[in-house]
Amino acid sequence: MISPLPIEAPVPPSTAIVARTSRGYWREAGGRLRRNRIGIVSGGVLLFFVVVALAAPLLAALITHTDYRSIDLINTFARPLTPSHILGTDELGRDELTRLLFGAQVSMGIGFLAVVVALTIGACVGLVAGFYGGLIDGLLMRFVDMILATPAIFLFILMSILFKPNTITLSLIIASVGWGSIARLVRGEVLSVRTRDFMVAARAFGASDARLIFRHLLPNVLHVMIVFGSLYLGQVVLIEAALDFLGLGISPPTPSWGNMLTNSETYFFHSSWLVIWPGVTIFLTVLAANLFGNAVRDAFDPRLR
Amino acid sequence: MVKYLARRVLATVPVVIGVTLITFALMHATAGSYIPGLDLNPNLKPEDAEAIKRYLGLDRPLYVQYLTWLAGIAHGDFGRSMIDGSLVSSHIFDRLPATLELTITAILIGVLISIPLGIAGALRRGSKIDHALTALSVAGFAVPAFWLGLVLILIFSVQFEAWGLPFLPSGGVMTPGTNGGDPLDRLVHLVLPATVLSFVYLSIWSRFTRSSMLEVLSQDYVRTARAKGMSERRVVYLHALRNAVIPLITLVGLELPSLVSGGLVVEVVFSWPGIGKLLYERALQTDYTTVLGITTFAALLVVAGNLLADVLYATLDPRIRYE
Repeated sequence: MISPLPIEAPVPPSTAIVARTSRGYWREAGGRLRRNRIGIVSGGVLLFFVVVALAAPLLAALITHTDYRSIDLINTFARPLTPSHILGTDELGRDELTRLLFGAQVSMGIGFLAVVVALTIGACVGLVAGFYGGLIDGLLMRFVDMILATPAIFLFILMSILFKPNTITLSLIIASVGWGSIARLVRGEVLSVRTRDFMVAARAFGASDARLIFRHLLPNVLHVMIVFGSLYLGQVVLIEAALDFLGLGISPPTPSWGNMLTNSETYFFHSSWLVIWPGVTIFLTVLAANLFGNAVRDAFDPRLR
Repeated sequence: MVKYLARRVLATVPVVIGVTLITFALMHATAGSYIPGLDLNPNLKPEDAEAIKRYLGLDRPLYVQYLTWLAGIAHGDFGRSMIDGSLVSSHIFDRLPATLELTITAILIGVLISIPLGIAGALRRGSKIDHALTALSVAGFAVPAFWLGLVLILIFSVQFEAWGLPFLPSGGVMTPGTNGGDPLDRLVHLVLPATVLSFVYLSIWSRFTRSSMLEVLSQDYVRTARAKGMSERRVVYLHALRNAVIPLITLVGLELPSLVSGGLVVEVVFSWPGIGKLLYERALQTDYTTVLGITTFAALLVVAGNLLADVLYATLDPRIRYE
């Protein structure tokens, strides 16, 4: 935004201002993010889990030489660091590391899908509500109030017993509650952006509503969405793991970090590693996602620091 | 104040109606005729099936069913279980004390520990203590509650017992066989679940107190107080703290609904016989009506909790009322 300068005393453009305008907002935010060491490291950890998820079958074939389903009843509860089982085996002799690798597919897949769906729905609702205001705004926001007023975990459980979820439906179930918060945030941002001069100008040029919303409003609320999305990812991974743990999410034989913990309680006494590994991976993923989200927030919205 | 109150109360009415509508719609989407397969049961004559539906009021128009159901809720009747026909409300009130015992303890622990931690972080900003507290709260926010529960059980129940040390019980509200009359026994059972549950609150609230305290400490009136030569202790605890905890009250108020729902996973891990575990058990049995009854109850509590937090906030901070 250009600040109005007094006409009587024109100020020559200083180099600082030139430098600012030549580097766009996005580039500047990107630069801030790259300079944030914690952000880069946590982003790297997150990327690592994504790569692991994508390459799980390959890694299983090359490193652990086994499938997540292959049962080996002679080698049940093998201790970690036994030759062919680096992280040990579970009650059915299935290799823990292989199952963790494939579990990453569930966590990362549902994590990113739920974030994308929640962002898309939430942004659309928030943009429309903020742009049109009035009755539409009132109705949409009351609806958001209602969604957010129902305890999320209860809604998740309810929908889980209704739909017997797989990876995709579970993402949709989680996103069906998560969009409410982003809709609120986007709407708030739209309310402050829509009265700015460039909006008035675009409207005066005869821009259609759709063009105003997607061409002019959306880029100005995108930073809110990016910040929310990156912080929301960790929450989705946590929720998903909890639902799997409760037996209401992804169910065996498909391994997920949550459902790997379900039975582990039974084998506490002799095989504590079955409790440790999946929990540590969940913790690391969520920690990385949260820290990366914080770094993104600091980069894109320095005021919030 | 009265005007503000009236406006806030009125604003909750559409939310209440909406929440009940959503659960009612879900109930119909799920349970359908309440009795799945009623029309398909070969042992029932069609007219008998009709009679059962008439008896349950399912032949009446939807809006009549909704209003009847709503009237029931207004009288504290949350419907009946689909499995055994028992009253959902009686289940709720059976389990409510255990849940409240757990969540109130956790919230109290959270508040009592997070405020001093937040103040310590704010006063020694940038110090080692501050960094350690920050790291701890970031970690606390990322650790799955159910896993933390499992690990604590593993350490303090399983391993301590194996090492012959005094160990904590791994679940339940009291030692089986006793009638819960021994307060010490209940307290011992409370330690692990309450610790796990308060962990999340701790990490959020201590961060919040810290930033709120930092903001207040930079205010003019704090500088004035210092300029007057007031002791640092007085400045911090008398002037700054009071204003710093006001926003925290809203945050804690927003947790009021989690008095019922927040502990679900922890209740399951520690087999704590509360509302969350009730909902979970019933969900596994696909007892839709009970699950929906509990959900409605919890949703109404959320609305009430938000209202209470708003009112409390407005009482403490007069600026809010005039916005």
